[in-house]
Amino acid sequence: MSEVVPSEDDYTGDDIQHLKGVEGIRKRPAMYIGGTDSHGLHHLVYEVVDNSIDEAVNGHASEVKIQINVDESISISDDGRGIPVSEVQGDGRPAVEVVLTEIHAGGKFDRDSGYKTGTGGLHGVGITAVNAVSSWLTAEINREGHVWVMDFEKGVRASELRQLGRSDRTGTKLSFLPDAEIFPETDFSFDVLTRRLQELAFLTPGIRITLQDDRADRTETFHYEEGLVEFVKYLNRTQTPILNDVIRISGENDGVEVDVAMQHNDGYTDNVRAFANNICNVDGGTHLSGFKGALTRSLNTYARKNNLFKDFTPSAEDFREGLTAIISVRVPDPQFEAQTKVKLVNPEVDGIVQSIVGERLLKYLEENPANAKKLIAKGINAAEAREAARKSREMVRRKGAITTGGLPEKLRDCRSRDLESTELYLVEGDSAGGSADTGRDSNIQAILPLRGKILNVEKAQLVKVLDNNEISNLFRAIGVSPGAGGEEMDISKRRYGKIIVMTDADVDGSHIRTLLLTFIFRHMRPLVEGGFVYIAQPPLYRVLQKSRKTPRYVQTHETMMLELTDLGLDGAGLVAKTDGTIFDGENLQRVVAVLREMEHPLELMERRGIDLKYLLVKGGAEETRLRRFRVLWGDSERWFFERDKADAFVKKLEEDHSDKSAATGDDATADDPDSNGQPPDEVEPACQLVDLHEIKTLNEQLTKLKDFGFTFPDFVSAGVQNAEQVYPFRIERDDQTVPLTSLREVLPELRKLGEKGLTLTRFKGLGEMNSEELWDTSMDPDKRVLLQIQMDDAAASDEIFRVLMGDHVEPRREFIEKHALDVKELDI
Amino acid sequence: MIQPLHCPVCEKKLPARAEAGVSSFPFCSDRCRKVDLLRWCDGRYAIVEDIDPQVAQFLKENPSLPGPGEGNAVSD
Repeated sequence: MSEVVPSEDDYTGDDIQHLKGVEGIRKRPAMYIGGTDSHGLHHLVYEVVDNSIDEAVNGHASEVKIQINVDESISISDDGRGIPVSEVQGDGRPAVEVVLTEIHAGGKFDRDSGYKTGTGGLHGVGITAVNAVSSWLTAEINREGHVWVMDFEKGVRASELRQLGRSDRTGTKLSFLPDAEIFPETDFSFDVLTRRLQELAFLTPGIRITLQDDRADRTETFHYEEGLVEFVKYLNRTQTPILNDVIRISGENDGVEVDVAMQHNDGYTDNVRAFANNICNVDGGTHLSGFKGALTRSLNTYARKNNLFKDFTPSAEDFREGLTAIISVRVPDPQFEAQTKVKLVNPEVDGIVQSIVGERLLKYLEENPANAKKLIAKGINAAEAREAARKSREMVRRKGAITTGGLPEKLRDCRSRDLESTELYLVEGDSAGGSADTGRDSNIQAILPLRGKILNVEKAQLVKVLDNNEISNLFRAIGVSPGAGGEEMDISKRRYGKIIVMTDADVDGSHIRTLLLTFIFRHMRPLVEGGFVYIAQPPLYRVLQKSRKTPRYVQTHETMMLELTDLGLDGAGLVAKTDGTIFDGENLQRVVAVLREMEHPLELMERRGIDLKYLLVKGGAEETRLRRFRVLWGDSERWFFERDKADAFVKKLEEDHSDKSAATGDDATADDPDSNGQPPDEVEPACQLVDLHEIKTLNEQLTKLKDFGFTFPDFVSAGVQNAEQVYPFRIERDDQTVPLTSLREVLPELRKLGEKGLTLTRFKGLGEMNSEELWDTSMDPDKRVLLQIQMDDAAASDEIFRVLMGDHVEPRREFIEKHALDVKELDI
Repeated sequence: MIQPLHCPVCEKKLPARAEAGVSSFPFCSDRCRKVDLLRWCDGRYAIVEDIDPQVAQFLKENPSLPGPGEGNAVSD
C-alpha cells in the first residue's frame, strides 16, 4: 500500500462510465447477490466491504469499520478517497448517485483511474445491488473538504446530494437497512461476518478491519502484518504441522500477482482456499488448478530425482493430504463464473500460477532436503493409506480375500464346538505342528501350524515374518474378520474358547511369539481384552535321573543352570590351597551366590575382547577394585576409576594434540596413513573413552568377596610354574577332587558335578519333542501351566516388537541380548 | 506396566487410557489400523537377524533340520 497512486483529485465524476440503468435487481435479487437467504443477506456487507478493501489494496485506505447498528442496519466506513461527488460528464447527476443506482457503473473499469491491481468488485453491480435491496441507504462521503450526504430508498434517490459541514479527512460511509420485503430474515450474525472479515484482513496485510456489534456491545479488530503466513498458521492452529515453516511463494507475471502460503499438518484432510482479488472462490478455478498442478509436479520431480519413492507412489491427492494453503491471485480482468464469483475462469492464470509456484517450490525443496523428505513421506503415507483402504473395502465387498475360502487347509480342527473347552494352538513350523497334532486331545484341541521363519541365504539373514497366507489363516481359523469402518470386531463368533500361542523356548521362538502377540493385540484386540489369549510354556530341557523312570522338564536355561549348580553344591567344599581355608555349607553357598552375580558381567567383558589378565596387567586393576573407564588413543591406553578424571584426561589429550598439530603444521598430516592402519582422512588421533558398565557390578561383588579373602587376581588363571600348571583352588566332594586354575572355574565345575547321574536334553524346538512329551509338558490341561495374556502383556509385546523391528542393528542386538533371551520378561 | 503411547503407524500420541471403548486402539484411527493390516499382509513387518553365511548355506542345503524348516529359502 505504499505505491504512488493518483490522488483523489484525479478520481472524479468523469471516471465513472455510465453503462446501463438498473433493471430488475429487486425482482431477481438472487442473480446479483446470490439469494435472499442469510447467505445473501451477509453478502450485502461483503459487497460494500470489498469496495473499501479495493481502496486499501490500491493504497488509498488502511482502515475499514463495520458496524451492526441496533436496528439491524449496517454502517461500513473506510478512510479511502471517498466516492466522487462531482457530476458525471454528460449525465448531470453526481457520481455517487450513478454509482449507487446504475449497473455497470464504477471506477474500476479503467486501469488508469488509480486501480492498478485487480479488484474484486468489478462488474459495477455490487453496491448498486445493495442499494436496490435496501429499504434505505445513506451515503456519507468525506471529500474535497466537506461532508456529503445522499439518501436512497429501495435503490432510488430519496434526496439530493447535500453538502454538510467541513471535513479535512476523506472516506466513505455507507449505511443501509436490508429490505424486509426481500429478505425473510434480516438478522446479521456477528460470527458469520467475523469469519469473512478476518479472512479479508489476512488477505490484505496491514489493513485494520473492525467489526462492532452495537446490539451486544461486541467488537473485534483484525490486523495482520504477515498476511497469508498468519492465515495459514491460524488455520493450522489446532493441528500439528509437519514442518515448522510456512512455505511462502510470491511472484508476478503478465500483470497477474501470485501469492501462496502453505503448510502441511499431520491430519488427513486438506484445506486449500483460492482467492482471486480477495474474493473467495469456493469452487476454485484456474488459480487452484495451477497450484495443484505445480504442487504435484515439484514434489514428484524432487522425489524421483532423489529416489524417494519405494513401495508407493503418491497421487496428486496424496500430496494434498493434510495441506493447508492459501492461493491468492490478483488479476487485472478477473472473470468469474457468476456474480457470486464462486470460480475463477481466466485461462491464462493456470499457467502463470503453475510456473511461479512450480519453480519456487522445487527450489525450496532443493534447498531444504530434510523438509522435502518429510513432505514426500507424508504423501507416501497417504498413498499407502489409500491402498490400505481400497484393500479393506475389497475385503468387505468380496467378504474378503483374507477371511473367505473356508477353513485353512493346514488347520487341524477339533470336534467340539463348545467355547467353554475348545482351544486353538498356534504353533510355529510344520514339524512342531506334527507333534502337536498327534499329541493333542482332538476333541477339544485344534492346531494351526504357522510358518514364521524364512531364510534369506543371499543376505545371510533369518527373517521372522507372518505373510499374507498366515494372516489369512489366523483370521479364518479363529473365525473373526478384521473390523470394518471402525466397527468393533465381533468375537462372539470365534471358533475356540482359548487361543494359545506355543513357540519354541529359544530366541527364535520368542521372536515369533512377539510377532503373533503383536498382531493379535493390534488386530484382534477384543480377544485379548476378553482374556482368551494364552501362551503355552514348553520346556527347554528334559532331565532324566538315573534312578527315576519319568523325566523332569525345565523351562529356561537360567533355571537349568541354577539347578545344576545347586545339585553340585550339595556336599561340596572349596579349598583355597594357599592357606588351606575350606568353604562349605552356607559359606560356600554365599560365595557361589556372589560368583553367579559375576558370571554374566565377566562374560560380557570377554565378549568385548578384554581378557581378565589384561584387565589386571594393563587395566591397572586393584585387588578388589577395577577401573571402569578406558581411554584409548593411538597405540596407548589408560584406565580410570572415575568418570571426571577420564574426561579431564581426554580433554588434555585433545588440547595437547591441537597444540602439536598447530606447531607442526602440515607435517602432522604427512604421516604415512597406512603405518598405523588409520584411514588417510583421519588426522586426529582416535581418542576414545569407553565406559565399561559391567565393571560397576563386578566391583560391588568384589567388595563382598573381600570378606571371604578372595580378590580379583583369584579370577585370573594361575598360569604355569616350573613347567607345571598351578591350581590355587580345588573342589572336594565326596571322594572327588577337582583342581581349579581360578575362581572362574568354580561354577562350571560345580555344574558338571551336579550333572552327574543326570541325562540332559536341550530341545532345539518343539519338533524335537515327541508328541507324548509335548502333551505332558505343554498341552495336557491338567498339567500344563498356561499364561494368560493381559492387555498390558500384549502392549509390552508391541513395544518389544517395535524395538526389534528398528532400523538400527546395534541397539536391536543389545536389546535381544538383554530382553528377548530372557523369556520371563515376555511371559510375565 | 508398559503402554504403547504412540500409534504404531503414524506415531501420533494416543490419548491416555485410549483402549477404553475406542475400537481403533492401539491405533490413532481406523485409517492407521488399515495401513497396519496391509503391512502385515504384505509381509513388511519382520524381525530380521543376521546369521553366519555358512550356517545359512547349511540350513538351505539341509532344510529338514531344525531352523527355518520347510526349506523356504528366499532370495531377493
